[in-house]
Amino acid sequence: MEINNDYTFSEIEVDTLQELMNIAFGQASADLAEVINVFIVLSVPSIKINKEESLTEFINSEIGDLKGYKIVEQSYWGKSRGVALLAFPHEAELELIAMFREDADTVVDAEMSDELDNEMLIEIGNILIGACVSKLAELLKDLVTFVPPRVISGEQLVEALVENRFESETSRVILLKTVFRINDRELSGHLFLLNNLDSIHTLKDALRAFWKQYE
Amino acid sequence: MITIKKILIVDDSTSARFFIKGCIPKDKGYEFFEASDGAKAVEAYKNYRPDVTFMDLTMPVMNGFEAIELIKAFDPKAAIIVLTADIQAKTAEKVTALGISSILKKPPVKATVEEALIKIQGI
Repeated sequence: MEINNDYTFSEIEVDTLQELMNIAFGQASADLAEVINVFIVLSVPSIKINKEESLTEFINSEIGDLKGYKIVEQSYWGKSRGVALLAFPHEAELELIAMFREDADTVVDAEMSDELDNEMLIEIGNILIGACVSKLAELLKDLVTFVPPRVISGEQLVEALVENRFESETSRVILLKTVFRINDRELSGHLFLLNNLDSIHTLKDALRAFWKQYE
Repeated sequence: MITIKKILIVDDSTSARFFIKGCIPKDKGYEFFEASDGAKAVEAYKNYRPDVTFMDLTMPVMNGFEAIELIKAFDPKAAIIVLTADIQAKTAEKVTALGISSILKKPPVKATVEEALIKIQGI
């Protein structure tokens, strides 16, 4: 395995990280599919090391206008710290919640509806983020602890991005992104993992150890 | 009884292809071929006629489902082992219906890869 010992990743290190992300999201999809009767179409994940371009620019270029999005945000830490952002456009969020409700057979009055929608979104986020991050950590022989997830609006995310809140929390970031479609519908979401780059050497060592198993 | 000589490994990830190779016994003299998407896999299958094909499902250009269908249309007896991160029950149902030999989950493990190869050799 070609190794870069500085703060950049070699092509093969990025490829390995991408493959592990793919495995981790596969686990997350299967977990969600067990809870609600959906079939998730996976896509090839992408990874970017945020060096020069800002996080705001990156997320804007990936999603476009964040208004109308609801985002489940969940922080985690193990050998490195990170923040997961699961973003759904409003229509996708409503459809997903409807599916979740059908499955849970929940009847609620209108007043409780908003609160319950957020609760369901948090639950969906918890399953997807939890399974994905835990699997990634397991593959890299790490153990992560989670902060409870919360729902924020696209506007709040923009605010946090403008204030560099994530960047100050994570210093520099490794961005892992995956887009997924649910069933045959055009219902897609984005999952971003923003990882602390301070522990890049720990991550590189873990990738090297993973690779070594197959040499 | 099938004697395995040629193995085609299909995955868009260079690392994933390396991981699979790492799980296949090195002392059997197998000849390896690789493809990085479904379309290249179909082409490689037609050119090399491998005895076994390891196939990923989530790939750009052409996914593994389509590639399996095309390979099976060309050669209904093609022995295909699906190796995927997509471990949803519906995915397993879908690929099993396409007539694959085995489905294994990623990351590959030596014991299960060897078992899948033995199963094909026993056909």
